[in-house]
Amino acid sequence: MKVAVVGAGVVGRLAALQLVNKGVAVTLFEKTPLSVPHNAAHVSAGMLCPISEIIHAPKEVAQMGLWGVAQWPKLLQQLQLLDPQQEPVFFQAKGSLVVAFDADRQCFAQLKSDLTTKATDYAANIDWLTENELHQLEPSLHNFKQASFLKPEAQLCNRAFLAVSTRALQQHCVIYDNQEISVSKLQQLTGEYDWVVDARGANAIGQEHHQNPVGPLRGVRGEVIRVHCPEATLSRPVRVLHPRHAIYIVPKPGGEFVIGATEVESSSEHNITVKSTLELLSTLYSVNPMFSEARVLEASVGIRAAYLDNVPNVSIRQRVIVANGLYRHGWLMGPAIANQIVDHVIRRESENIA
Amino acid sequence: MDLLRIYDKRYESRLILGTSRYPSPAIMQKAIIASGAQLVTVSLRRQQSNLAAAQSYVALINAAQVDVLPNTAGCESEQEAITLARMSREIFATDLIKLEIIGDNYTLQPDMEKTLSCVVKLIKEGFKVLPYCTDDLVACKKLIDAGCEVIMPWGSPIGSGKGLNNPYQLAVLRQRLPEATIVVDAGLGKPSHATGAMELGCDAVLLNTAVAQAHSPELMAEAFCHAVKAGRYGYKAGAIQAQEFATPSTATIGMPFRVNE
Repeated sequence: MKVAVVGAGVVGRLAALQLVNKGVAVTLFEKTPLSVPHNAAHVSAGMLCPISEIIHAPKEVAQMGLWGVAQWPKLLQQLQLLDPQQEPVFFQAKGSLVVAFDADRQCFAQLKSDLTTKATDYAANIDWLTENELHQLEPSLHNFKQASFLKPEAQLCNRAFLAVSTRALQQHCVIYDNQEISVSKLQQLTGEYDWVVDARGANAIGQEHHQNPVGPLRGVRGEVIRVHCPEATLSRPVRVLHPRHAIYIVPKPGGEFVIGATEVESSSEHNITVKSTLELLSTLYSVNPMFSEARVLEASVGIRAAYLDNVPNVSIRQRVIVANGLYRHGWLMGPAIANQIVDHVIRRESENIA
Repeated sequence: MDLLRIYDKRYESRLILGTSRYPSPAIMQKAIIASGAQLVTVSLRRQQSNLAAAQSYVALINAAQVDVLPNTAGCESEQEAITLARMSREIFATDLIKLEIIGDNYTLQPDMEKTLSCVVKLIKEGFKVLPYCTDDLVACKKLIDAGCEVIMPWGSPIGSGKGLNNPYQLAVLRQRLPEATIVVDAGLGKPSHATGAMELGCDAVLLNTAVAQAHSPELMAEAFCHAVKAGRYGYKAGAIQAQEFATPSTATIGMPFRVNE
């Protein structure tokens, strides 16, 4: 069986790798060079936060997300075996913290009300930390008096995943990168392959293969800043609530931190704005002045493709499997969505043989 | 029919809904329908650096099939507000503009001096301006003298959910400015706040966060729809005056003598 995967974001890569593992011949098409990704996966922080998403997203997103968090260690192990250099990808499941400055304590009260109403099934996974407990767990958060500790949350190194998966895919798939695939070309591919997986993410905005009932796809612009601050210590992602802009700080390997992310209803990729820079960096500085001497490595912009309900969707028409709309949940929902794609390909194939 | 007057437009619904901070556009669309709103307010401020890329967002708002009231949320200078007003007029093909010029970053209190000066400029350009203002009677009078048919005094700071901080002052505005359309904008958190504003004789309320951030935005939108109607009917019906003593509502037949305890 031959499958074409179009798009090398989280979904495209995971689907391709899983199909390879099932012995399927995969051809991967990507708009940019595979080793120099230009997508939301590259820009993002690699957070896996199923519990905090319960507040805004429907329950199935949280459920698929929790399943995804549980799958990642296995997926990364499989990836390591496919990588010619056998490099591991950083992953940790030490939970995440949600805090608010004392001036914004009403935001914290709102979070508590939201979580106790909407996350009743997961109450055992949420600890409400006192000042002492928080300072013991994360000493550099001494400016905060309380926190919500979301224990099942995790993170991975998104850039390590992209680097390692690039090598693995180059080793095990046919790659056509630097190739933009139009909708007509996508349709044309169905003549050459048994299945075409359309995982173009934001590149499909305005150029969808077929109409989706929850469509059209739209872009949600996100801006993040990456800093290097080896003297800072933070062992897990921290989300700082604010009435106008909630911001997360995610520690990465090598003393780096990713601060993000804004949410603007736009698919424009212009450089980060002054306002967003101020929002992100003033929050970082207020969390702990130890960040004042952090070196700003980059400010990046990523476009997240979302359907109107902000829920990922897989739909199939004419041997084209469209998987898109992962919004800001790419890493979280990637495993579940890739699994749906692979299941579909394999199941249909076995039905055909029977 | 009892219609809300916004310049030359007339609306049955007296609830104007904001379009920010919903969990998803799909939920926003449901909330708009449930609220019965016929006018929604929209900010393009963070989209202005590249309008072409915001087309899907604009299409989304237009798909709700309600009138659009563009706003200048977050502007701190007249020039910013004017630029945004011109751009919004082009995008949404409407002369209506909700003018918001912030004077204090923490409370988001409007700067009335700049607002007044900007109102004059925008009206010269043919805009129909709905200024976000404090509940200061004199400031509101000046806005009306400058040509505003609608004023939008705050209930309490934007997004605070505190309700009506000064009902007395809103009642004064109603009494002293009988011809103006008064829309209480900002600070409403609960449906009863909206009812309260309407009972005072305000013509409409504008709200956003109270619905968008509720556990169920759709249900809260419906709650506000009823609350606004309740308050309006109550105002039109003429409420009784509060008394310092009890008055039996059933006749005291069978009680030959008044008991004086």
